[in-house]
Amino acid sequence: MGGSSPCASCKLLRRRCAKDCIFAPYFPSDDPHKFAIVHKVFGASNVSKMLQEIPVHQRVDAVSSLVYEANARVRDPVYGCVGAISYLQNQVSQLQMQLAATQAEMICIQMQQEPTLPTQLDQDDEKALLLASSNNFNNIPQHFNFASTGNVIQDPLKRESLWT
Amino acid sequence: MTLKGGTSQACASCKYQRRKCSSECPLAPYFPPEQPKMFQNAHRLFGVRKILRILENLDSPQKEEAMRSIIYQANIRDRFPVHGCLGIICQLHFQIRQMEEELRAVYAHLEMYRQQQHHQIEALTEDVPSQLELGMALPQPCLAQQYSYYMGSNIGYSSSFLDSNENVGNSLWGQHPYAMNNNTNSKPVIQSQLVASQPLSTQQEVVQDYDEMHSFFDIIDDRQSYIETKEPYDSSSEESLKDTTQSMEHVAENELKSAAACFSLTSVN
Repeated sequence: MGGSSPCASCKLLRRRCAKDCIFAPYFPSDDPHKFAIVHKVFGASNVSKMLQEIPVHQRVDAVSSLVYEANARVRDPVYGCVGAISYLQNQVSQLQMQLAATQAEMICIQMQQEPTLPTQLDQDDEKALLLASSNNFNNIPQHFNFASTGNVIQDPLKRESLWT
Repeated sequence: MTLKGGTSQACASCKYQRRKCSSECPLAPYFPPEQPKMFQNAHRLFGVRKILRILENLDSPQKEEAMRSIIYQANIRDRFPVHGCLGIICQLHFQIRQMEEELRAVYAHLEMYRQQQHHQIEALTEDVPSQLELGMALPQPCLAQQYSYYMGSNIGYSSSFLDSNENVGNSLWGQHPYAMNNNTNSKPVIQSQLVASQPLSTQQEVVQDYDEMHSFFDIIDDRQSYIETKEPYDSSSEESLKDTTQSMEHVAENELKSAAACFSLTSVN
């Protein structure tokens, strides 16, 4: 009679909430929608199996990511959260191009300010400068790839197959 | 289960479930028998029933796109069991912020150089009468042209893009991960773009590779035309960037602002 209320998952599943319920720490009873959406997209059984395979100190993050992905899939049944990844990847590409163009512009201005060089560049020179700056820029993304996780951003959307 | 004497092999889904794979198996087109791991990942994350439930309300071309995203998401989860796709999204946001800071720094340098150029032009302009007298006039129209070229094309370009994105980046990183349930009323821009989109036309990559999705968004998003024109100084780029950044803000706020924060990026598996 004096026991704590069942967690949101056991409430939804209509079962007794044991003391060692794997869902209880992450799906409190005051937020039923959180478990409901995860159960709707992934299923309680799958979530339980996944949590069991993850160390306890990482389960909070795992639940957060599952809830996020479930929400994304409900909002967009076709692409889910993958749509956001593609969109952001596109943003990264655009920024890379802007950086390359801006650096090429800087090189142009620097060259113009050199007293020994001609003041007006023709189109061939500008193309060569753009190529040079983009070659320089190819080294710059490594600056942003922190540790080995930086490769993660590129690999899933590039040619490498994930299950080979 | 292999059909004895038959020409077709059971799909990975039916093989895993050890049942007969009929010609009308809904998952057979997406899970070839030679790639069992792909189905295992999808099954572990979603399960067959959930996958079929996602597909049942979609049209045929949407089903293909949905399955690709499901397979991709499952593979990412297999590779990164803790953070999954959200980890990648966080990293992308981080990368974007870093690149924006770099762009801001480069623009600051550019502005400095422009100031120097401006001073040089002023100095030359003051000296022209005396130089003309001496027959030593410099080619003024060339310098002035280039200066106005840079000024006109880049000042508004930099300020509109960077200022709007600064707010986006700050809002993303200031949210609690459990607050994402408040976004139920949101209407993400991505969803409206994708639902109205055309299927992928070029299939140079393997189906499972999401470089296709990259080209897919390039196709459907007309605001990226400035990339294809390869003229970063085009005056239309300013408006397209404003639209892009506004969409990015909208996407960031509706999709990610509650969930992308507070992730430990160093512990991605």
